[in-house]
Amino acid sequence: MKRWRSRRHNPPRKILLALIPLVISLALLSLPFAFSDKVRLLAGSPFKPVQKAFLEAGRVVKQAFVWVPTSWTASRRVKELEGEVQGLQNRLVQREVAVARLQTELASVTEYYKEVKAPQRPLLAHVVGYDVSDFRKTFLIDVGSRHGVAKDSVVLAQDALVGRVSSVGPYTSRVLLITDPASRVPARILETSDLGVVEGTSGGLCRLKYLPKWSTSGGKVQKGFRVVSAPIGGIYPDSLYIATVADDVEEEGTPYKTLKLKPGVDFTKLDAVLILSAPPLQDGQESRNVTSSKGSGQTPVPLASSSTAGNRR
Amino acid sequence: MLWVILVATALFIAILETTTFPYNLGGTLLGIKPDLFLPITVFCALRLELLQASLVGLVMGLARDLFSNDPVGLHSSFFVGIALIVGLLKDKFYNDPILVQLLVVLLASLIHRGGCAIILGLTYHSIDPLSVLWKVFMGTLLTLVVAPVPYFLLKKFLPPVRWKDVS
Repeated sequence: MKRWRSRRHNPPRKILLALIPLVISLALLSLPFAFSDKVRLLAGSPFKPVQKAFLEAGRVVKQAFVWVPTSWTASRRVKELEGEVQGLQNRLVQREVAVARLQTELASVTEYYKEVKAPQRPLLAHVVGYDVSDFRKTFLIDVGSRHGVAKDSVVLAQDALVGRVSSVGPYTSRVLLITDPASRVPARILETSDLGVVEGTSGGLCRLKYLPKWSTSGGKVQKGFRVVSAPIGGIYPDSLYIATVADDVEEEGTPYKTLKLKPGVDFTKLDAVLILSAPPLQDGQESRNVTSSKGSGQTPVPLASSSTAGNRR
Repeated sequence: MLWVILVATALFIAILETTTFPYNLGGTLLGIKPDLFLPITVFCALRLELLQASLVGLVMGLARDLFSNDPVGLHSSFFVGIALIVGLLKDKFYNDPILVQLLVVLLASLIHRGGCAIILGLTYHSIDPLSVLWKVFMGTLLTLVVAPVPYFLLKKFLPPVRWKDVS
């Protein structure tokens, strides 16, 4: 142990030697991102079972902490909730009838419906670890290329967009959330059809940028308007619910408007996600999808109806 | 043997930071979690020789890089840099009391988090400055709260060099 203790006078040679780790670290920074990402996922894979065990243990402890105070008021709340559930079930039946009618109408007028019906099986994955950095919004899932996950596969939860797979290892993959500063999702406002780009801010909210200040559709954007994905770029499918408009951001001197968005998914409570394989890009696909998605008031169901709605029912 | 313990500790902290901390504190503290890697790097830098301190920084930084989406080498560069600065300056001040060591952790955390925030802000323009500032200060505060745990553990297994011994 004494060998480890500091001594007073370090000769310059020791300082030079101590600089070697710094040089190594800086050299690592210059590695191509794809390569370092692969190495990182490969090296991190063996810890997947340990991470899962820790997460499970954390959940049990958290549930125990939550259960104690809530059990006091639980019985009274149960009665209230039973009444609410009955009301909601009635509303659900009405909604399902409306959705079924709209889907039939949609099928008859758009090409998009055919694509949705194409066999695209969603893959269920569990979250095994979050990002160490507070500034990044990513997490690790327990499926990889061996399970059929590909880079840029779309990730969903709670019938809303979570993000996309940014890197794939054999047994694990990293998901880039829509709140990560590196995330860019082409999107449009459902009610006005205005196109923009959803960007992550590293916080709990996102931003919808590059919206024309003078709305082309003439509609004024209000709080609570829903933002759905636009098929530009070929990664994200059309009309997938992303977030809700939370606030306006005033920016002087730019022709564009920026909106603050509240994501449709609570990322702190995610246990499992659905992964959709990246759709193959076909000639003329973008333009056809864009034209098929025109028109305000369109219901953001198509993808959910094929994949996540199957889960819901 | 000590290096095996160090690597195991780094991996254990990484697993703790990617599972337990964000899951249990995520809802209450807006996703901010304490950094356990940094206090260990700083305390080791205050106790070990310069080369060993920078190697500890490298191990801790690489463990952090392994479980983050940041570029590999970013955190290890910061940690090695901090370990070198602390290692070079430790003889210049009286570093025995816990308060002084915690103050060093505070400064190091501000440098690390601030540096990462600046790099991230330059890379991605969409970053929200207020949210980042909040994370820098709250993260530093949380790190300070948990720092006494590794301090007392290291004090037990790796006693610090007395100021009078070096002056």
